[in-house]
Amino acid sequence: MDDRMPDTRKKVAKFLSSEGFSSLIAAFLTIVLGLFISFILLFIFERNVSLDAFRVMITGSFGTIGVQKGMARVLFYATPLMLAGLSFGFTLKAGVFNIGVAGQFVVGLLTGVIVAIRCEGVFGDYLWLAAVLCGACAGAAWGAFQGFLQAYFNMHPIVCGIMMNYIGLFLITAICEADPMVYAKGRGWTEVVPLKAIMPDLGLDRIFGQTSAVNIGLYIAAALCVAAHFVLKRTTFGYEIKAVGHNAYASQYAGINIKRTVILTMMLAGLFAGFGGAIQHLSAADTHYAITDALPQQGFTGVSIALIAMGHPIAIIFAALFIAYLQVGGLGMQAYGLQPDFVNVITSLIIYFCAFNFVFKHWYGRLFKWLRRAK
Amino acid sequence: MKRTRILIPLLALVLCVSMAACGGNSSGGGDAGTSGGDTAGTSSGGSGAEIAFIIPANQELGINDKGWIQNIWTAMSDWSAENGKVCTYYQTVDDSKQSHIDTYDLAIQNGAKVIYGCGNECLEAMRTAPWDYPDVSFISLEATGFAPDEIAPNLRAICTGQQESAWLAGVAAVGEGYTDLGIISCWDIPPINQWCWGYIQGVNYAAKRDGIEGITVRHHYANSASANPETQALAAAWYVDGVECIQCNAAGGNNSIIAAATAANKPVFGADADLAKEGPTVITSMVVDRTVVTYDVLTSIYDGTFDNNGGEEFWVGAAAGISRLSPWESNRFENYTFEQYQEDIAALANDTEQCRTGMITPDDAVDIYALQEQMGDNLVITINHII
Amino acid sequence: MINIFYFFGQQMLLCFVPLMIVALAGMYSERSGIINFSLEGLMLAGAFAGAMFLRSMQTVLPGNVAYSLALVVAGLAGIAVMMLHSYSSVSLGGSQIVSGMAVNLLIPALTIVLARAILGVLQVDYANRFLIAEIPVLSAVPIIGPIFFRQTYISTFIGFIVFIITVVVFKKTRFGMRLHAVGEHPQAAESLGIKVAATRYRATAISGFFAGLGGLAFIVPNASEYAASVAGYGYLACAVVIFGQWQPIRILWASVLFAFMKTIANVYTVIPFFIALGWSTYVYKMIPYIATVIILIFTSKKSSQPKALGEPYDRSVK
Repeated sequence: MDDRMPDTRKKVAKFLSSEGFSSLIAAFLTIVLGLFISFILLFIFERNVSLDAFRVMITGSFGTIGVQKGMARVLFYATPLMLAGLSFGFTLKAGVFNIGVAGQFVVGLLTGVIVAIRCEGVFGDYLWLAAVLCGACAGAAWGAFQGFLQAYFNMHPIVCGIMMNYIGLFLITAICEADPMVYAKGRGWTEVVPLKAIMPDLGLDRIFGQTSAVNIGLYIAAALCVAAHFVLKRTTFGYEIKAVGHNAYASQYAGINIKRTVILTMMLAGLFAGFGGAIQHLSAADTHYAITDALPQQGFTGVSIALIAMGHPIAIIFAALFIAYLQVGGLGMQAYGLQPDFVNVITSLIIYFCAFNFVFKHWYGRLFKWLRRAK
Repeated sequence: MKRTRILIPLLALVLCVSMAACGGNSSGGGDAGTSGGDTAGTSSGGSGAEIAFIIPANQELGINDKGWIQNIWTAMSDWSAENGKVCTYYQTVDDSKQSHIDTYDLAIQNGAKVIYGCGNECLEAMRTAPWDYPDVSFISLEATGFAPDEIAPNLRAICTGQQESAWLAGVAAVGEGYTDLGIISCWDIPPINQWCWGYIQGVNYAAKRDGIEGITVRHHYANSASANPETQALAAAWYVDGVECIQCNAAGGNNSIIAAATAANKPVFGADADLAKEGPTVITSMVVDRTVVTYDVLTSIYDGTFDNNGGEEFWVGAAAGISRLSPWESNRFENYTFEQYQEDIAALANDTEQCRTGMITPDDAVDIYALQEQMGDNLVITINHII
Repeated sequence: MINIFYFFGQQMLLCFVPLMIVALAGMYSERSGIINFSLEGLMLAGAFAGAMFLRSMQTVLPGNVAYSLALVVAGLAGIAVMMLHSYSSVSLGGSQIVSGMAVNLLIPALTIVLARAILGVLQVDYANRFLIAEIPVLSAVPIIGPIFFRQTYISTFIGFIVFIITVVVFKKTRFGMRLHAVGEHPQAAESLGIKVAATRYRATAISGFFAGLGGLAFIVPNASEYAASVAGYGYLACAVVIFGQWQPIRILWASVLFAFMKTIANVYTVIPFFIALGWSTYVYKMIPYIATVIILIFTSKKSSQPKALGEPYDRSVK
C-alpha cells in the first residue's frame, strides 16, 4: 500500500480486502446468484406472471397477508425446520452425515402424540412439556442406537441413516396403529391431542394474533441452537466432537474416546430431531397426523438448511427462518397459478451455490487485486 | 470461512425482510387480468380470483391426479369460464389444521369469495374457519365427521355417494362373469372404505340375485397412495394367483395396478375418473360425477340459494345421477350389457331389496370384519381380507 | 404354486436390476473419489427425459426400439445433470455432499416445473408397449427360462450387460485401474502421469449415464407415467453401494438380497405361509431394512471405502 495514500483510503482498502468483507461478498453472491437464476427460470416458463410472482415470493407474500400474520407463519414453519437442521448440522461437525434425521423426527413426533394422548391425567397442565420431552427422548434413543451401530460396528453413517429412517417410520407407525386410543381406526389418522398438550403461547399471541400458532416451541428451538453453539465452542465435549470430525485417528491418539463421542453426538442429534417432531405436531391444535408411508419432508428440508448454514448452529436459526420465509412466499405464488415446487428450485439453487463459496471468495480476491492494480 | 456460515443465511434473511418491508407498503397484486400458467383450466392469477380451490398437501400429484381432484378443478374452471368468474387453486404447505386455515386466509386476502376445500384433511379446518369469515362462502367436499352444530351457516358440507358407484361396479363385475375378484385399497380411511364397502355389497347383491355361488372378493390395504413397484407387484401377484379382475381403490397407486393388469393382460376396473386410456384392459371405472355437484353449488352461491343444509352434511348420490360407472362408450364389457346396467341403476333408484337405504357405511361398520358381521345372513360371497 | 415361484423370480428381477444399475453408477463415481449422493436426482432426470422421449416418439417408433433409444436419452440427461455436481466437486473443490443434495432437491422440482410448462400437467405419460411376453427358445429352459425370459423387459438384459461391462472395466482395463488409483491416492496417481481431474470427469460422466438409464428402467415396468418420484430408490442405491463395499460383484449380491426381501414384502399376500403367520403389513415393510442392518453389523468391520473419497483434490498439495 502506498504511504502517500490518505489514511481513510488505507482503512477502506484494508476493510474491503479483509476476511470478513470477502465472506460477506461471497455470501451475497451465493444468494443473489441463486435468486437470479431462479428468476431466469421463472421468466422462461411463466413470462407473464414472473415478475409479480417473484416479487410475491421475495416479499414472503407479506404484501398480501400483512406483516403480523406473515411473521407468525414464518415462525411457525421455521421452528421444526430449525431443529431438524440443527440435528443434521450438529453431526456435521463430527464428520457424520445424519441422514437419519427424518426417521428421528417422526419417531419424536409420534411418541409425543402417544404420550400426549395416553398420559392425559398424569401430568396435568404440564402435559405438553412431558409429551415434548418424551418425544425428544425417543428421538435421542433412536439416534443413540444409530450412533452405537456406527461406533461399535463401523457401520457407514449414510446407509445406517437411510435404513433406520424406514425402520423407525414403520416401527413407530405400527406402534401407533396398535393403540386404539391413539389411532382412529377407519380414519387413518391419530386422534387429536388433548388441549393441555398443545404448547402454550407464552404471550406470543399478543404479538402475533390469536389465530397464530407461534408458541414456546420457538424459544425452545432457538435456545437449543444457542446451547448447541455453546457446547461446540466452549465445552470440552464440543472440542472432542470437532476433533473427531477433523481427524478421527489423531483424536484417538490424543486420548479422545471416539466411540463415546460418536454415540453422544448421534444421541444429541436424535434429541434435536425428536424435539422438532414433537414441537411441530403439538404446536397446532386440532391436528391429526395422517399415517403415511413417506418420511416427513421436514427431515430433508432440515438437511438443506444445515448445508446452507454449513453446520453453524446460530446460522441454522437464520437459515431456517429464511427457508420458512421462502415457503410462505411460495404459498403466495400460487395466486399466480404457479406451483410451490418453484420454491424448491430456488432453495436448491442457493444450496448448490453454497458449495461454490471458496470460489467466490477467490474470485473476489482476484477482482480486488486487479482493481487495485488498475488504480 | 467461519463467518460465512452465519453470513449467508443472515444476509439472505435481511435482504428478504427488507424487501418485504417495501412490499408490505404496497398492497397485493392489483392486476386481476394476469393469466396463470396452468393449462388444465382457466386459472388466473393475482388479486381478483374469486373462487379458490384448496387442495391438501398430501396430494403429491396436485391438480393433475387424473382423479377426483382434477375432476373438481375441471368442473370449477368450466363453470367459472361460463359465468365470467375467475378461479384459482392453492396447495397447503402441510396438512395441519393451522396450515389449511393459513391457506384459506391467503386466498381470501387475494380476493376469494368462495373457498372450496376437499377431502378429510380439511375437516378440522372447516369446523372452525367458516365461523371466522362469515362473508365468504365455504364448500367442503368429501369431508365427513362433522358433529351437529359444527357446520357454519356459510359452509356447505357435501358428501357424494361413492358407495353407490362402487355398488354399481360390484354388480357389473358379477354381471361380466367374474368369480374371483379383488380390490386393493390404499389407506384405511373413510372415503376409501366407502368405495370398498360399496363394492363388496354390490358384488353380494348381484351374487344373491343371480344365485351365483362361490364368489370371493380379496381385499388388502396397500398402505401407499402413490404409484410404486410395491403396489404393482401386489396386483401382479394377485393376478398370478388367480384373481380375475381387480378393482382399483388406491388413489395414485391405481396407475401401478393398471400397469400390472396391462402386463398380465387381465381386466381391471378403474376408480375416481374414467381411466380407460390408462391401459387396454381397463374395463370400466367407478366414478362420482362431481361436475354436477360443483356446478350446482357454485350456481347456488351466486343466485342466493346457498345454504348449509340445515347444519347437516349434504349427501348426494345415485338418485341425483352422481354415482355412476364411466360413460358407456369407454367401457369394454363383453357380457354385461347396457340394458343390464340401466336395470341396476333403476334398482338403486327404487331401492330394490333396500340396496340403497340399507347400505352399510364405514360409519356403521368400522372395519371389514364388522361389515361381514353386519351383513350376517345376507352375505353369500366370501370376503378374504389380508392384513 | 409353481406359477408363484416364477412370478416371484420375475418380480425380483424387476426390482433388483434398476437398483443394481444405479448402485453400479454410484460406484463409478465413488471409486474415483467423488461422493455421489445425487443418485436420486439423476434417476429422476433420466426418467423424465426418457419419458418425454417415449411420449413424443410413441407414434413414430416401434416399441422396444423406442425404449432402447429412450434409455440412451435418459443416460445423456443423467450425464448433463451430473456435470453440475462434478463441476462443483472436481474443478471447484466444493463440498460433495452439498452439491449432491442440491441436485436431489433441484431435479424433482425442476422436472415438475418443466413438465407443467411443456405439457400442462405434472405427469409425463407414455404407452407402455415394452413388455416382452416371451422369448421363444430361451424361455423353455427349465427354471431359469420362465424367470428370465418371460414377462420381461429389455432393461433387465441391459442391466446385466452393464454389470459385465463394469466388472471388465475395473478388473481388466487400464481406465479402470486408473480410476481406482485416482480414488485411492490421487497424488500418487498424478505423479505417475494420470490426469486426476480428467479421470474423475470421465468417471462421473459414466456414473451419470448409468444412473439416468437406471431411472428410466425403474419407472417403465411400474407405471405408465413419470410422476416426479422414484420412491427413494436413489438413496437406497447409495446404501447399496456402501453395502456392496464399492465392488461390483458385492453390489450385485446386495441388490439381489434387498430385492428378494422387498419382493417378499410385496407379494406375501399370495403366499399362504405368510398369510397364516398373521403379521402386520409393517413387519414385511421393515424386513428388507432390518435384514440389511443385521448383515451390515456383521460385515462392516473392514471397510473398502476408497481412501480419497470425498476429499477435493488440490494439485498444489503434495
